[in-house]
Amino acid sequence: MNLKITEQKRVSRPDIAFCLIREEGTRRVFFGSSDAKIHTLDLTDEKPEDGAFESDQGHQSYITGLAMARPGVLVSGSYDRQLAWWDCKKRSLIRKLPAHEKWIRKVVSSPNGKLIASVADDMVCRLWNSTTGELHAELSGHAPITPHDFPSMLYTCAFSPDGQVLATADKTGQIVIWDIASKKQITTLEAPIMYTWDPRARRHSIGGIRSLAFSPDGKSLAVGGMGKVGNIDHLGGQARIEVFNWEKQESIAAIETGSVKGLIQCLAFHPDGNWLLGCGGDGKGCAVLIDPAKWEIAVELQTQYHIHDFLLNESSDEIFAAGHQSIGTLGIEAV
Amino acid sequence: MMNDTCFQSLISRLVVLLSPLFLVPSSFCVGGESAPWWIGLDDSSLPGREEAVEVVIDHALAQKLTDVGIAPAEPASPETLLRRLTLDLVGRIPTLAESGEMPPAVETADRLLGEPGYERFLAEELNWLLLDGKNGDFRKFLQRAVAQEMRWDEIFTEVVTARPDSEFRKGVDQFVRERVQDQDKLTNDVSVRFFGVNVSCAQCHNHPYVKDWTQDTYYGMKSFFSRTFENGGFVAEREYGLISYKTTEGEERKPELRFLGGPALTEPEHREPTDEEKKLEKAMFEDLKKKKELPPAPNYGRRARVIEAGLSGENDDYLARSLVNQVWNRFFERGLVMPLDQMHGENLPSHPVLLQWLARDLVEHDYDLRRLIRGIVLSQAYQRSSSWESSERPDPELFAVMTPRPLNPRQYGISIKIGAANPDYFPANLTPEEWEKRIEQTERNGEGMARWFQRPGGTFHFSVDEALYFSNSDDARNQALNGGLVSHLEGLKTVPEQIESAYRSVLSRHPEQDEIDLFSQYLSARTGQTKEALGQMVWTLITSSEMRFNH
Amino acid sequence: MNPESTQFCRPNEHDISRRAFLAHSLAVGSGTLIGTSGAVHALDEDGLNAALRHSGKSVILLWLAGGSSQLETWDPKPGRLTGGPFLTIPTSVPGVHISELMPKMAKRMHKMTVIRSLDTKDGGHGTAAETMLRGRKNEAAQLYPDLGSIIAKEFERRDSKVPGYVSFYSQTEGRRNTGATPAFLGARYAPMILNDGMKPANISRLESITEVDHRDRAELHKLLSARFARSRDTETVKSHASAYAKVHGLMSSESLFDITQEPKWVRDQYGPGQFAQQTLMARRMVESGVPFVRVGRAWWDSHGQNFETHAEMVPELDHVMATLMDDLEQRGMLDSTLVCAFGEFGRTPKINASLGRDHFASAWSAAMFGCGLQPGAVYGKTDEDGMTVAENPVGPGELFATILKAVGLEPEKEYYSGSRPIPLVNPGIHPIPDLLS
Repeated sequence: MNLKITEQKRVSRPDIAFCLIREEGTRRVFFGSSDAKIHTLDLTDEKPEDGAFESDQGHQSYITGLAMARPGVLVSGSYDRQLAWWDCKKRSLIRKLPAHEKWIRKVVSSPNGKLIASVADDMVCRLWNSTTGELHAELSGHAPITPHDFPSMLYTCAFSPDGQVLATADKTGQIVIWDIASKKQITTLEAPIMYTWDPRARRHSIGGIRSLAFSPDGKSLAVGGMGKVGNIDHLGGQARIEVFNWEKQESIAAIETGSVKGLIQCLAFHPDGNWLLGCGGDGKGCAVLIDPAKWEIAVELQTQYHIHDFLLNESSDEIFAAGHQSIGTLGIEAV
Repeated sequence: MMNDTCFQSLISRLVVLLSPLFLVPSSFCVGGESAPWWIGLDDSSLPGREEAVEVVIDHALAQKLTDVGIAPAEPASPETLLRRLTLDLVGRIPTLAESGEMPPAVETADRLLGEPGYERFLAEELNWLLLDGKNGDFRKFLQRAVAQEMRWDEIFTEVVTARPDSEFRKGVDQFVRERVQDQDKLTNDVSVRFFGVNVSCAQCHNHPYVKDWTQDTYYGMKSFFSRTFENGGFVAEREYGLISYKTTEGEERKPELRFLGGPALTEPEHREPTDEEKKLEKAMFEDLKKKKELPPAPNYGRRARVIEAGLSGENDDYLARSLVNQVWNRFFERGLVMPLDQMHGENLPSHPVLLQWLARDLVEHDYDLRRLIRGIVLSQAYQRSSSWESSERPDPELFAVMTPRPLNPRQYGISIKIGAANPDYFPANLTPEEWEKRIEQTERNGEGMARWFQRPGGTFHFSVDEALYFSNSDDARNQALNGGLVSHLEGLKTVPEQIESAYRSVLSRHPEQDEIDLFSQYLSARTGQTKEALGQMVWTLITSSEMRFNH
Repeated sequence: MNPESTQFCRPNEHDISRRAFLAHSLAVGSGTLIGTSGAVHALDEDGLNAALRHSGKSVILLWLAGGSSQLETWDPKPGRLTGGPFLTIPTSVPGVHISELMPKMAKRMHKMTVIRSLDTKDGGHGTAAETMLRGRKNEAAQLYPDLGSIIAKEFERRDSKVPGYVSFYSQTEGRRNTGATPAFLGARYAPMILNDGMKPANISRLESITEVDHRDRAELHKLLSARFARSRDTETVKSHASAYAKVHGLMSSESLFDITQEPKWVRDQYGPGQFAQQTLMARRMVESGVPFVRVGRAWWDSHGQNFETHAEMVPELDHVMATLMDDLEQRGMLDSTLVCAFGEFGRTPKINASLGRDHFASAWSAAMFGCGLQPGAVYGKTDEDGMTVAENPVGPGELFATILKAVGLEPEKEYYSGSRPIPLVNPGIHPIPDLLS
């Protein structure tokens, strides 16, 4: 695999962008911000002009999840425990509903667009009718308290490509796989290395599983976070990705970066399974390309900014990234 | 005749001495000179370079004492001095046989400096300086290095080079290896432990007290270590990589290599390698990891530059001054510069000319530590009593009276083993080999006890934990009762003989009359349980303040 | 006799000592045990002003080591880019909002005294801790006593068997920054340090020695130590005898250190965490007459992942403080106990790329309740982003003076360091009247 990743465009901003959606076929992106608003930029422009979704009834805190409910309608989730539906063109609020008892960490839409999944630190995943906003199911199975008697966090979720299965993952390194039709647990997996509890020096924890991605054939599940770290004041551990054959509950690979450090905040497979891309970072950012043939790192790049979320373009050779005080693009190309 | 710097330093010192009266913080800076104190220092007040170290020390200290009009303490008694020398040079109290002889101090000092125990003790102290006393291969490396009389600048080079490529060098990399995951810690520990300079204050912002110390200074120092990493249990280093940092204003900067705030060093042009080159390099390191091999040194190594910088020109004075200060602190419980990790240019020593003289002398004599230590212990200043009768003890930085120093854990443990042992275990007529063997064994036993005690440092307070340990643990009881001394005392005919023997074994002196009376009363009231009573007497002596201190 | 030995041997003093010892030995036979507070204690006497001694006051310091974030606790900035993701909640004091991470303290705000305007200028862990624990920085030529030493000195009962000052610090990070120095107050006010567990080791007498022998031996020890210390008047030397002097008192209060003596429902109320149990132990100690307990909770230094760390640790702090407040109130101890919670500094309003906050001493918060404080007081304001103090800046000295005044001490009171008079706070530093009841 002879590829390289290069940083291309970067738009600097005062806020932090946590989640990203792109209008299909365009270079217009929508992202959720630490300023509690959804913003939009057209990255075709040399100097893209910021457009914000203004509303008196909007979110009150970080927008950590964005998903497409249907073309032209976005759903956002926030630390304010609310989900909100928005008209993209008018940039106006359609509805808002109290969705969780604690902070929402991620919002994703099902492949067929019918459902919206949200996960929050109340440790439940809720499935919503993407059109009406009705609660469809509540998936509860993650422990609310860590083994060390502290409140836990439910960081991420991902649908399988066929939409039949959903994975959720938490602070302590537990992954639960759910059957959508029956709304029941199928199985669980563990990636405990991604949770570092320090009993002695600092007596609290860091880490957690921050990203999930099913392989295109749905059989493998990639899980992203950070490896063990000694000093939990910083994101000083190697970035870490584990891959499971989830049906057999088998670990296929455990990969750690060499020089870049931090969390893997977002994962995506190439639609044909050619590679697996993980992005994230510590005080800087990182982009890691993995060759699934050998489950080895093919490209390890330190980027200028910590990346919280990314999307691929239609031809999977451009990455749209949202991160710390930045929105940008990166290119993937053959060497 | 005093020049400006001398005069200013005198004023600064007077401010320090008089500040209790004026409530002036002693960090008040007189003169506002921005050049480090060692520049332009006039040493004409001291005897010439050919004079003995101890003469120079006494001259420098006496000058200041005269200036402030304080008469120093009397010389310590011969018994006290013998005990002090033995503790300071070989890390234990004298055996009974050793304390029988009272030769002149210089003979005792030379005898002790020639014993293998001196080397073992020195290696221990260096291990504390560098690795907080950790047990392991590094400690063994230091023992080998000291036994071979390796110079301090050579030890510095070996430790920072961190290449265990021979049996001799096994463990040398532990210092760097343990810190390599946290480069800030590595940077600061090298700066503090070798150069006496704590740079970490300048990490997040420009140094609050030292004008010239900016974040560039800190990151300039960190740059020496930024390419160092761990590869399969060995210290490795990349050929490339630049660090950057954000100033307090948010400006991003790429620092240059700088040794402790000095000028930027020239380096070969930096080139970020291609992805292909990086891949090859990564594969090479992975391969070495699998084979458990020591990675090769890079063609251009930044870490080697810090060795080069630290030993060149006037920079090597940092290394020498810091070592002198540490050694001085060990013997006087106070460095010539305090705190020990603030040896930057704006922190004036109590005796700047003396410190500079001793540092230069050390360098000129190939870092001969034995020479420095010998000079210190032969000085009158070192040989003074620790008693001070009149009202307040003088300011410690006058060195007018010896400060009682708590024994470090190892000293205390070994001394208890010796003190509570049967004195016949170390008779005067042992062969040197047998004696050495027994002393070494006793040291090892004593080290086992040492883990119960805290290493003194700063303004040390004994914790009640130690008092509880001695008062209530089986272990402590055993030490006192079954070390061999009590059995020996049981065999003595009279109570005064028992008291005399106990005092001489444990406290290395004869008891005074009031002490004889005290213990006579105690023992006579317990004739039914002699062993127990003798054990309590031994307990009292080994836990006494007198035993606990190097006085 | 050589000249040195006469320095040890002062005929009158040693006669007293010997007589005390003999009297003690004679009393042994009659079955009584004379306490150790005999004439030999004359050596410890240092001229206290009895009029100023108020009995029965205690202080618990919850030491938030590493620097907890004021923005995620007492002084949130909702809607600002510096505010972070957590929302605010109203409290029982109208107009006052705190972080949503502290719902229990929000309900109890009307009993709290909070400072939001600390400006302490030092962002270094070690030096800032030294300053916050003493109200001022040590100087090269003068060490100052820390809060615990002062409270122990002022409120320790004369015949007390319990320690005057206990410090818990079970985590290893930052432990060295909290070195307590009694300085000129005297070595006996140094803390009992419990770093491993809640009970000092070796607290019970061995079976192989009788009570009488144990005490006789301690008496011998004391006499010899006094002899040695007579002409070696240094803090370290004195601390040696002090450490041994505390042994019997501690041994007799062994059950104090046994937390299982607290009913299970009480232990459950506090919760299973180490911080919670040690805070319970602090209440227990204060109830038994220990004047000062410091419970160290390390390590708040969230340079990375500040929100995760605070989401984890602030609810614990909220619960522990609330439980302690309720517990003290129910036991009628709130009027005689002052509880304060702060660390060495706060955290930057600016959020870094690891979603962390860094050291920040320019505008941060401390929280207190209990003895002598004005309940419901929220003092000082920071600007809308939390970057600077907008109203009523408070320095370390003022906070310190306020605590001292609240427990009935005069901060201007002078002690003697040798012959130099030194007040408890530096000249020009005063308590803040708005914070006192």
